[in-house]
Amino acid sequence: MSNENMSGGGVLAKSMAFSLGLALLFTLVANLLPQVEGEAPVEKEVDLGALTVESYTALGEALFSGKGTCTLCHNDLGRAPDILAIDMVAVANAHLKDERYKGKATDAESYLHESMVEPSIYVVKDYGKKGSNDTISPMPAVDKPPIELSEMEINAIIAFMQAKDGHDVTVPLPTEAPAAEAESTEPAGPAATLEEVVAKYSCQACHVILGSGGDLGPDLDKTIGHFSREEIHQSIVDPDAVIVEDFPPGVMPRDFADQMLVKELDMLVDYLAGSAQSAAPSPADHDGGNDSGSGDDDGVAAVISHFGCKACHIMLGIGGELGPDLDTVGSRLDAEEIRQSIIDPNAVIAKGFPSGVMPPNFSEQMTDEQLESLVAFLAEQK
Amino acid sequence: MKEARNISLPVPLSLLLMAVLAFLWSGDMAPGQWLPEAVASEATSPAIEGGDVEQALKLRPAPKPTRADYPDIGVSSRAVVWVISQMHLFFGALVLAVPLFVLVIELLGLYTRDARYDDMAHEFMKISITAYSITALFGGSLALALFLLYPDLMAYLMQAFGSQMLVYAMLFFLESMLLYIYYYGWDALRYGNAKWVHLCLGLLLNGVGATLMVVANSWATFMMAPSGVDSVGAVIGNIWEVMKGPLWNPINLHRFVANIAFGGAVVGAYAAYKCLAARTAEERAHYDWMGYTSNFIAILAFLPLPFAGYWLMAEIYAYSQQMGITAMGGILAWLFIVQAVLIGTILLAGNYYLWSGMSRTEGSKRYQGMIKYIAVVLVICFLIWVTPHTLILTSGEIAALGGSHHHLLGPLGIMPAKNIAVNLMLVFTFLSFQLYRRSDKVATVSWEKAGNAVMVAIYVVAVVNIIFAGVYYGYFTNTVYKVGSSVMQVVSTLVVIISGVVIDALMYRKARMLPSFWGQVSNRSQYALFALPIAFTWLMALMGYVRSSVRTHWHVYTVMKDNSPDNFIPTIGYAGNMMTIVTVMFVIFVLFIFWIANLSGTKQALPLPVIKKAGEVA
Repeated sequence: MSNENMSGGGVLAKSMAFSLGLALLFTLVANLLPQVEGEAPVEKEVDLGALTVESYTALGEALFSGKGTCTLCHNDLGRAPDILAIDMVAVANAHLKDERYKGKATDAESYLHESMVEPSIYVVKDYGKKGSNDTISPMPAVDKPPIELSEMEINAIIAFMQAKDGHDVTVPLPTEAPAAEAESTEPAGPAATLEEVVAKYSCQACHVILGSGGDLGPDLDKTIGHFSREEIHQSIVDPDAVIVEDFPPGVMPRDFADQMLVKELDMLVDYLAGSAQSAAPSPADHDGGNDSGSGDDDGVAAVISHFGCKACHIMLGIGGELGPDLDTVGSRLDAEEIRQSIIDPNAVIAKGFPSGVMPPNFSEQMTDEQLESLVAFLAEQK
Repeated sequence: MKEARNISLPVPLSLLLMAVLAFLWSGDMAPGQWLPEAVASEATSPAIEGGDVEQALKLRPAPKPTRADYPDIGVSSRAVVWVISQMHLFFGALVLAVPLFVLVIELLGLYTRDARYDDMAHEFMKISITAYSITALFGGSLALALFLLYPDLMAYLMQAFGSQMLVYAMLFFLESMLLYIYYYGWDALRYGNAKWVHLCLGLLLNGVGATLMVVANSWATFMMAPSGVDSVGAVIGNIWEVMKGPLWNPINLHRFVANIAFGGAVVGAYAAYKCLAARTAEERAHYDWMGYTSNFIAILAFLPLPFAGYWLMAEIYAYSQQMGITAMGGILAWLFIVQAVLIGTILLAGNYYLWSGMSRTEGSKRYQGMIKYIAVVLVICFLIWVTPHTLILTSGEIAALGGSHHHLLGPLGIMPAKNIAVNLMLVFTFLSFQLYRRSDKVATVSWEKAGNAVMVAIYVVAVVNIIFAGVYYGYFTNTVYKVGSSVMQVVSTLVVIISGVVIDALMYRKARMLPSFWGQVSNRSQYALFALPIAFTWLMALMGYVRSSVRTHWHVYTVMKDNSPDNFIPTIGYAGNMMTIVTVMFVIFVLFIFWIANLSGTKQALPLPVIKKAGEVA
């Protein structure tokens, strides 16, 4: 043991060398371990037309251990049922017969689907959240963030779970057009009027709107003009975000954002905001007649709404991204160029966007007045 | 004059920070003008133009930046922010922790009327005061880097936290003022009622410091587990609801305790440096004592840290099992092997320092025989802790092993074994500490034997309980009981620590003191005091990597995706390299602080001509 003291410089050098050596030792340990990089999920392009049952099942298996992150919990460590080790179709059928089961599924396929999007409908014994007495599942809904599987992907996982134990794959193979749309009994085309929108989405089942309806939700005719467009928009696409006093949460379907066309949503929002009375008849003058909306309105909001511009373009802050953002179009194009791009959309294509997407027949559908009001409006968007 | 240089840095930086925040938050600016492109389009919607701007802004969903919305500066933006934020956190932890235990030491000095405590507390503050300048420097740089490199994220955080960020800047101002008054007023407010005024200033300083910390913590925990927002990130709650997410209080507690351990370790290294470089026996004795006190603070704060960590992880699991498993059993699981190495280093260094310190008193001979057994237990537990569960093997190795897991070592790789190991390490570290504390005392109470018997019984029951709970519930029951058993183990460890402190306090109240010689300690022991801050610093960087990585590809978990080129979890090797870079940078800055602290106490000798002239006058 030496208690002899060193010079300040010697202490500095030795302490630095010691500290650096120790830090490098820790670095060495970190570099000796298996090096795994956690990639963010990448949306893979799936050629829907070329899918076979086998490739669809294989896609499900990849999703099961990849984007779906199912194997994080569903493994042999006991955190959740080990799906790979059990026959999920048999398990599903057994759970359907369990008196604790309160869901709506009628067969194994619908049970598996339900268990992924609403995991707390039936919680397997001993796998519930701590303190919930097996009434709340710790599993996240796979169609919501952070997992966000699409309907096609959920079905692929169901196909995988069915096929891995030799059962028939009962989920339909996805086609180019979403199957739900093809099989839908709803009107195939977009609703042209506010009445059609209200009827198509059965708003009156719960709300008074356009003079009649149920009382399960707030009377919407009485709220006209009381809320901003943003608030109304949110209350439709995310109905549980803000709940009106005295009305229960979780009643209104949360998938209107997936179902509604932008044009339809705009019509509804315009009406409820009271900002576009001309776009649809008000309750006072509503007579059940069918306004074709084909061109009597000269308000630019009605033109945008009627021709569904926002389905592909961002306009007034909202809209799709299939076409260029039109909120700044006036800084890029003059009025003549804008007019041409509406009348003959394929004459000049904006960089980064495909040609042939925008319908070339707007000039036939629009009145001159509508066209000019739209051109004037867009030219001002800088 | 030299000390006055310290004050010149932070105030302008505080002003700069304030100015940046005030600029970004100017009420005169129309909402949307300062917003990045990815969100600005929404801010010009008709509803906002219509007048209800505040409500419309509140209901705006989180932005969805594309890859093009992230500025490309030629190097990884994440790496830049990583280094700066980690440096800011290191120094922030130091400047928040040091005044905390300085206040306690100052109070102790007042209570014992021992001026050494007061002097030591003042010297600790000397380190903190320079560290504060550097904290502000990195804080300003961090704000700048984040606004430049992650504009959409910062815009969203500003949207969520609003004027709370301005409150933070104002608190920063208040903290600066209190810190300088507390440090520079030390001698002016040293005795009598003035001392109480000084202590109150210290209390205020710590109150403001703790508030700053919890406010800043709320930003980090919001990103991990957002609250007060809906499923698309629109802010629907008030500021309190946004702040008090499920992970806020666990992080607050964990950081508060960890900061004290970290601060103690850093000032311990300062004391070790001064002890090794001391030129007189008195100086060496003073810094030996200072080093001991710092180590005491660091280890005492470190012992409950695993329990605070346990609460944090339990809350993470309760919030999102997926996030919990990503941290503990998924891609990040391997880093807990590194964590074991780091905590093992801390405990072994802490114990080694205590054992070496026993050489200060003759009375320690009574206990020195036990050291080798404690060392054996610590090493075995350490080895169990670093044993991995899953090995990356070739098919030949799997065949030779007879499976993917070794039949003997495999069971040591899972959590029950590690829970046993960590709890035993904590219990035996406390035993080292208890023996050290007892080594210069002889109890004089009549119930000494009975007290010792009770203490031994508590140790035996606790050790048996920790092993039994770990083995029985860990290997012979299902997962639910496995988790529950760790609570039994934690309680056993806490019972040992609390009962040990209480029994010794009563038993040695009027003890006969044996001579103890400060400074009579090996130089080698002082290097243990260097090992502690290095391991602590690396550990803090490692935990920062975990905390940030569990968000995976989300800036704000589930509501705002990270679409930057760095939206992946880097490998543990890459992260380890980053951790060493920030640790070395931190060490260099700390040495600068030590140098400044020395410089402020150095006086140049009078030049010869001046002495001669003075002699002639005389």
